[in-house]
Amino acid sequence: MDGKYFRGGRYVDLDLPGLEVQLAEVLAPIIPRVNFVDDLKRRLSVEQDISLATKRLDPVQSVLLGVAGVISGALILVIGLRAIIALLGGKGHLQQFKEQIQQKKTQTMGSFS
Amino acid sequence: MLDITDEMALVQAGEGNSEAFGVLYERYVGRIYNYIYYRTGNQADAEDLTARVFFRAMHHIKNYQDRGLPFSAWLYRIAHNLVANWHRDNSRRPEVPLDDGMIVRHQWQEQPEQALLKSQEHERLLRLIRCLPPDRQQLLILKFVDHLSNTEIGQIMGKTEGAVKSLYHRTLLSLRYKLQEIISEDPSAG
Repeated sequence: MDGKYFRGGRYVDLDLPGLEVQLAEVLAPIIPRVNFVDDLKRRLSVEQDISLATKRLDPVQSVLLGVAGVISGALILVIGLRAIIALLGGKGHLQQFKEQIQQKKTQTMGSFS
Repeated sequence: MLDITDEMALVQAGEGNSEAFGVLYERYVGRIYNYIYYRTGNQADAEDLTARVFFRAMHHIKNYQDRGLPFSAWLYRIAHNLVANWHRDNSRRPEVPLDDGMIVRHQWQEQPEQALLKSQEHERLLRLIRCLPPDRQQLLILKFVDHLSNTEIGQIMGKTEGAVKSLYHRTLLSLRYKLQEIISEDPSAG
Protein backbone atom coordinates (compact mmCIF):
# COMPACT_ATOMS: atom_id res chain seq x y z
CA MET A 1 0.00 0.00 0.00
CA ASP A 2 2.99 2.34 0.59
CA GLY A 3 3.03 5.10 -1.96
CA LYS A 4 -0.03 3.62 -3.67
CA TYR A 5 -3.36 5.30 -3.93
CA PHE A 6 -6.65 3.89 -5.18
CA ARG A 7 -7.77 6.13 -7.98
CA GLY A 8 -10.17 5.68 -10.86
CA GLY A 9 -10.76 2.04 -9.92
CA ARG A 10 -7.07 1.05 -9.73
CA TYR A 11 -4.03 1.59 -7.54
CA VAL A 12 -1.66 4.28 -8.74
CA ASP A 13 1.48 5.79 -7.27
CA LEU A 14 0.68 8.63 -4.92
CA ASP A 15 3.63 10.83 -5.80
CA LEU A 16 3.66 14.51 -5.00
CA PRO A 17 3.05 15.68 -8.60
CA GLY A 18 0.05 13.32 -8.69
CA LEU A 19 -1.25 14.83 -5.50
CA GLU A 20 -0.79 18.30 -6.96
CA VAL A 21 -2.89 17.28 -9.97
CA GLN A 22 -5.64 16.12 -7.62
CA LEU A 23 -5.44 19.31 -5.62
CA ALA A 24 -5.82 21.33 -8.80
CA GLU A 25 -8.95 19.32 -9.66
CA VAL A 26 -10.44 19.66 -6.19
CA LEU A 27 -9.57 23.31 -5.62
CA ALA A 28 -10.95 24.61 -8.89
CA PRO A 29 -12.03 28.26 -8.97
CA ILE A 30 -15.74 28.83 -8.44
CA ILE A 31 -17.76 31.65 -9.92
CA PRO A 32 -19.99 33.31 -7.32
CA ARG A 33 -23.68 33.76 -8.13
CA VAL A 34 -24.22 36.75 -10.41
CA ASN A 35 -27.20 37.88 -8.31
CA PHE A 36 -25.05 37.87 -5.20
CA VAL A 37 -22.25 39.87 -6.84
CA ASP A 38 -24.64 42.46 -8.29
CA ASP A 39 -26.69 42.76 -5.12
CA LEU A 40 -23.61 43.22 -2.94
CA LYS A 41 -22.27 45.89 -5.30
CA ARG A 42 -25.57 47.77 -5.06
CA ARG A 43 -25.63 47.48 -1.25
CA LEU A 44 -22.05 48.77 -1.02
CA SER A 45 -22.87 51.70 -3.27
CA VAL A 46 -25.95 52.65 -1.24
CA GLU A 47 -24.02 52.37 2.03
CA GLN A 48 -21.24 54.58 0.68
CA ASP A 49 -23.71 57.20 -0.54
CA ILE A 50 -25.41 57.30 2.87
CA SER A 51 -22.15 57.66 4.78
CA LEU A 52 -20.98 60.38 2.39
CA ALA A 53 -24.26 62.28 2.69
CA THR A 54 -24.05 62.30 6.47
CA LYS A 55 -20.42 63.39 6.46
CA ARG A 56 -20.56 66.13 3.83
CA LEU A 57 -22.28 69.28 5.19
CA ASP A 58 -22.85 72.34 3.08
CA PRO A 59 -20.93 75.44 4.45
CA VAL A 60 -24.19 77.42 4.60
CA GLN A 61 -25.77 74.59 6.56
CA SER A 62 -22.83 74.60 8.97
CA VAL A 63 -23.17 78.38 9.58
CA LEU A 64 -26.93 78.08 10.07
CA LEU A 65 -26.41 75.23 12.51
CA GLY A 66 -23.89 77.32 14.47
CA VAL A 67 -26.19 80.37 14.62
CA ALA A 68 -29.12 78.21 15.68
CA GLY A 69 -26.95 76.73 18.42
CA VAL A 70 -25.93 80.16 19.77
CA ILE A 71 -29.53 81.48 19.73
CA SER A 72 -30.80 78.36 21.48
CA GLY A 73 -28.10 78.68 24.14
CA ALA A 74 -28.92 82.35 24.76
CA LEU A 75 -32.64 81.59 25.02
CA ILE A 76 -32.03 78.82 27.53
CA LEU A 77 -29.84 81.20 29.60
CA VAL A 78 -32.46 84.01 29.62
CA ILE A 79 -35.28 81.62 30.53
CA GLY A 80 -33.16 80.15 33.28
CA LEU A 81 -32.34 83.60 34.76
CA ARG A 82 -35.98 84.67 34.61
CA ALA A 83 -37.00 81.53 36.39
CA ILE A 84 -34.47 82.13 39.18
CA ILE A 85 -35.59 85.77 39.56
CA ALA A 86 -39.25 84.77 39.66
CA LEU A 87 -38.48 82.12 42.26
CA LEU A 88 -36.57 84.54 44.51
CA GLY A 89 -39.22 87.28 44.07
CA GLY A 90 -42.02 84.88 44.92
CA LYS A 91 -40.41 83.99 48.24
CA GLY A 92 -39.74 87.63 49.16
CA HIS A 93 -35.98 87.19 49.16
CA LEU A 94 -35.57 89.78 46.45
CA GLN A 95 -37.62 92.34 48.39
CA GLN A 96 -35.55 91.71 51.53
CA PHE A 97 -32.39 92.09 49.53
CA LYS A 98 -33.60 95.44 48.12
CA GLU A 99 -34.54 96.64 51.59
CA GLN A 100 -31.14 95.69 52.95
CA ILE A 101 -29.44 97.71 50.23
CA GLN A 102 -31.75 100.67 50.90
CA GLN A 103 -30.96 100.53 54.63
CA LYS A 104 -27.24 100.48 53.96
CA LYS A 105 -27.58 103.52 51.73
CA THR A 106 -29.58 105.40 54.38
CA GLN A 107 -27.01 104.56 57.04
CA THR A 108 -24.21 105.78 54.85
CA MET A 109 -26.04 109.04 54.10
CA GLY A 110 -26.74 109.55 57.86
CA SER A 111 -23.14 109.10 58.87
CA PHE A 112 -22.04 111.75 56.35
CA SER A 113 -24.60 114.29 57.52
CA MET B 1 -12.22 53.83 -14.93
CA LEU B 2 -11.80 50.08 -15.40
CA ASP B 3 -8.16 50.35 -16.53
CA ILE B 4 -6.85 52.29 -13.52
CA THR B 5 -4.30 50.65 -11.25
CA ASP B 6 -5.17 49.39 -7.80
CA GLU B 7 -3.12 52.18 -6.24
CA MET B 8 -5.00 54.90 -8.09
CA ALA B 9 -8.35 53.26 -7.36
CA LEU B 10 -7.36 53.03 -3.69
CA VAL B 11 -6.56 56.74 -3.46
CA GLN B 12 -9.82 57.69 -5.16
CA ALA B 13 -11.85 55.23 -3.10
CA GLY B 14 -10.28 56.69 0.05
CA GLU B 15 -11.55 60.11 -1.03
CA GLY B 16 -15.08 58.71 -1.21
CA ASN B 17 -15.26 57.84 -4.91
CA SER B 18 -17.74 54.97 -4.99
CA GLU B 19 -16.94 54.19 -8.61
CA ALA B 20 -13.28 53.58 -7.72
CA PHE B 21 -14.29 51.29 -4.90
CA GLY B 22 -16.60 49.51 -7.34
CA VAL B 23 -13.60 48.82 -9.59
CA LEU B 24 -11.67 47.27 -6.71
CA TYR B 25 -14.74 45.29 -5.73
CA GLU B 26 -15.20 43.81 -9.18
CA ARG B 27 -11.51 42.98 -9.39
CA TYR B 28 -11.37 41.06 -6.12
CA VAL B 29 -14.85 39.79 -5.26
CA GLY B 30 -14.31 36.48 -7.05
CA ARG B 31 -10.97 35.78 -5.40
CA ILE B 32 -12.17 36.66 -1.92
CA TYR B 33 -15.34 34.62 -2.43
CA ASN B 34 -13.32 31.59 -3.53
CA TYR B 35 -10.98 31.90 -0.59
CA ILE B 36 -13.84 32.06 1.89
CA TYR B 37 -15.84 29.37 0.11
CA TYR B 38 -13.06 26.83 0.42
CA ARG B 39 -12.35 27.83 4.02
CA THR B 40 -15.98 27.54 5.14
CA GLY B 41 -17.25 24.82 2.80
CA ASN B 42 -20.64 26.30 2.04
CA GLN B 43 -22.11 28.94 -0.21
CA ALA B 44 -24.32 30.74 2.29
CA ASP B 45 -21.50 31.50 4.72
CA ALA B 46 -19.15 32.32 1.86
CA GLU B 47 -21.58 34.96 0.59
CA ASP B 48 -22.21 36.36 4.05
CA LEU B 49 -18.52 36.63 4.91
CA THR B 50 -17.59 38.01 1.48
CA ALA B 51 -20.13 40.79 2.00
CA ARG B 52 -18.66 41.54 5.42
CA VAL B 53 -15.12 41.69 4.00
CA PHE B 54 -16.10 44.35 1.47
CA PHE B 55 -18.20 46.37 3.91
CA ARG B 56 -15.30 46.38 6.35
CA ALA B 57 -12.87 47.31 3.58
CA MET B 58 -15.13 50.16 2.46
CA HIS B 59 -15.42 51.59 5.97
CA HIS B 60 -11.67 51.42 6.62
CA ILE B 61 -10.29 52.26 3.20
CA LYS B 62 -9.53 55.83 4.34
CA ASN B 63 -7.15 54.41 6.95
CA TYR B 64 -5.43 52.07 4.49
CA GLN B 65 -1.67 52.54 4.61
CA ASP B 66 0.44 51.48 1.67
CA ARG B 67 3.25 49.39 3.13
CA GLY B 68 4.44 48.11 -0.21
CA LEU B 69 2.06 45.16 -0.13
CA PRO B 70 -0.63 44.62 -2.75
CA PHE B 71 -4.17 45.70 -1.92
CA SER B 72 -5.25 42.07 -2.20
CA ALA B 73 -3.05 41.24 0.81
CA TRP B 74 -5.11 43.65 2.91
CA LEU B 75 -8.39 42.13 1.68
CA TYR B 76 -7.16 38.58 2.31
CA ARG B 77 -6.11 39.65 5.81
CA ILE B 78 -9.63 40.89 6.53
CA ALA B 79 -11.09 37.69 5.05
CA HIS B 80 -8.67 35.56 7.07
CA ASN B 81 -9.69 37.27 10.33
CA LEU B 82 -13.40 36.94 9.59
CA VAL B 83 -13.02 33.27 8.69
CA ALA B 84 -11.05 32.68 11.90
CA ASN B 85 -13.88 34.28 13.90
CA TRP B 86 -16.40 32.19 11.98
CA HIS B 87 -14.51 28.98 12.81
CA ARG B 88 -14.26 30.01 16.45
CA ASP B 89 -18.01 30.67 16.64
CA ASN B 90 -18.80 27.45 14.77
CA SER B 91 -16.54 25.29 16.93
CA ARG B 92 -19.36 25.19 19.48
CA ARG B 93 -21.82 24.00 16.85
CA PRO B 94 -21.87 20.78 14.79
CA GLU B 95 -19.51 20.74 11.83
CA VAL B 96 -20.93 22.32 8.69
CA PRO B 97 -21.15 19.69 5.93
CA LEU B 98 -19.47 20.33 2.61
CA ASP B 99 -21.82 21.73 0.02
CA ASP B 100 -23.01 19.15 -2.50
CA GLY B 101 -21.93 21.52 -5.22
CA MET B 102 -18.41 21.42 -3.88
CA ILE B 103 -18.19 17.69 -4.51
CA VAL B 104 -20.25 16.96 -7.58
CA ARG B 105 -19.27 19.87 -9.79
CA HIS B 106 -16.42 17.94 -11.50
CA GLN B 107 -18.59 15.11 -12.70
CA TRP B 108 -19.45 16.35 -16.12
CA GLN B 109 -18.66 14.23 -19.20
CA GLU B 110 -17.82 11.13 -17.16
CA GLN B 111 -19.41 7.71 -16.75
CA PRO B 112 -21.54 7.52 -13.60
CA GLU B 113 -19.22 4.97 -11.95
CA GLN B 114 -16.08 6.99 -12.63
CA ALA B 115 -17.84 10.15 -11.57
CA LEU B 116 -18.85 8.54 -8.28
CA LEU B 117 -15.29 7.34 -7.59
CA LYS B 118 -13.88 10.72 -8.40
CA SER B 119 -16.48 12.41 -6.29
CA GLN B 120 -15.52 10.23 -3.31
CA GLU B 121 -11.84 10.97 -3.84
CA HIS B 122 -12.51 14.68 -4.04
CA GLU B 123 -14.69 14.62 -0.97
CA ARG B 124 -12.02 12.81 1.02
CA LEU B 125 -9.31 15.19 -0.12
CA LEU B 126 -11.45 18.26 0.63
CA ARG B 127 -12.14 16.96 4.12
CA LEU B 128 -8.44 16.43 4.66
CA ILE B 129 -7.66 19.93 3.41
CA ARG B 130 -10.21 21.37 5.82
CA CYS B 131 -8.51 19.54 8.70
CA LEU B 132 -5.18 21.23 7.94
CA PRO B 133 -4.02 24.20 10.04
CA PRO B 134 -5.43 27.53 8.74
CA ASP B 135 -2.14 28.76 7.25
CA ARG B 136 -1.77 25.56 5.20
CA GLN B 137 -5.35 25.79 3.96
CA GLN B 138 -4.73 29.40 3.02
CA LEU B 139 -1.58 28.45 1.13
CA LEU B 140 -3.33 25.73 -0.89
CA ILE B 141 -6.26 27.97 -1.76
CA LEU B 142 -4.04 30.83 -2.86
CA LYS B 143 -1.92 28.47 -4.94
CA PHE B 144 -4.58 26.35 -6.61
CA VAL B 145 -7.70 28.50 -6.62
CA ASP B 146 -6.13 31.90 -7.19
CA HIS B 147 -3.04 30.60 -9.04
CA LEU B 148 -0.74 32.99 -7.21
CA SER B 149 3.05 32.69 -7.25
CA ASN B 150 5.03 31.90 -4.11
CA THR B 151 6.14 35.55 -3.93
CA GLU B 152 2.55 36.80 -4.03
CA ILE B 153 1.47 34.20 -1.49
CA GLY B 154 4.35 35.27 0.74
CA GLN B 155 3.22 38.91 0.55
CA ILE B 156 -0.29 37.95 1.58
CA MET B 157 0.76 35.57 4.34
CA GLY B 158 3.63 37.70 5.61
CA LYS B 159 6.26 35.04 4.82
CA THR B 160 9.32 34.87 2.63
CA GLU B 161 9.22 33.02 -0.68
CA GLY B 162 11.45 30.30 0.82
CA ALA B 163 9.16 29.89 3.81
CA VAL B 164 6.18 29.52 1.49
CA LYS B 165 7.98 26.84 -0.57
CA SER B 166 8.92 24.97 2.56
CA LEU B 167 5.41 25.17 4.01
CA TYR B 168 3.95 23.99 0.71
CA HIS B 169 6.22 20.96 0.57
CA ARG B 170 5.43 20.03 4.18
CA THR B 171 1.73 20.43 3.44
CA LEU B 172 1.92 18.04 0.48
CA LEU B 173 3.81 15.47 2.55
CA SER B 174 1.30 15.78 5.36
CA LEU B 175 -1.65 15.36 2.97
CA ARG B 176 -0.08 12.32 1.31
CA TYR B 177 0.62 10.76 4.71
CA LYS B 178 -2.97 11.28 5.81
CA LEU B 179 -4.37 9.88 2.56
CA GLN B 180 -2.22 6.76 2.90
CA GLU B 181 -3.27 6.44 6.52
CA ILE B 182 -6.96 6.49 5.57
CA ILE B 183 -6.47 3.91 2.84
CA SER B 184 -4.42 1.56 5.03
CA GLU B 185 -7.02 1.81 7.83
CA ASP B 186 -9.96 1.20 5.50
CA PRO B 187 -8.99 -0.19 2.06
CA SER B 188 -12.62 0.13 0.92
CA ALA B 189 -12.25 3.90 1.38
CA GLY B 190 -10.51 3.94 -1.99
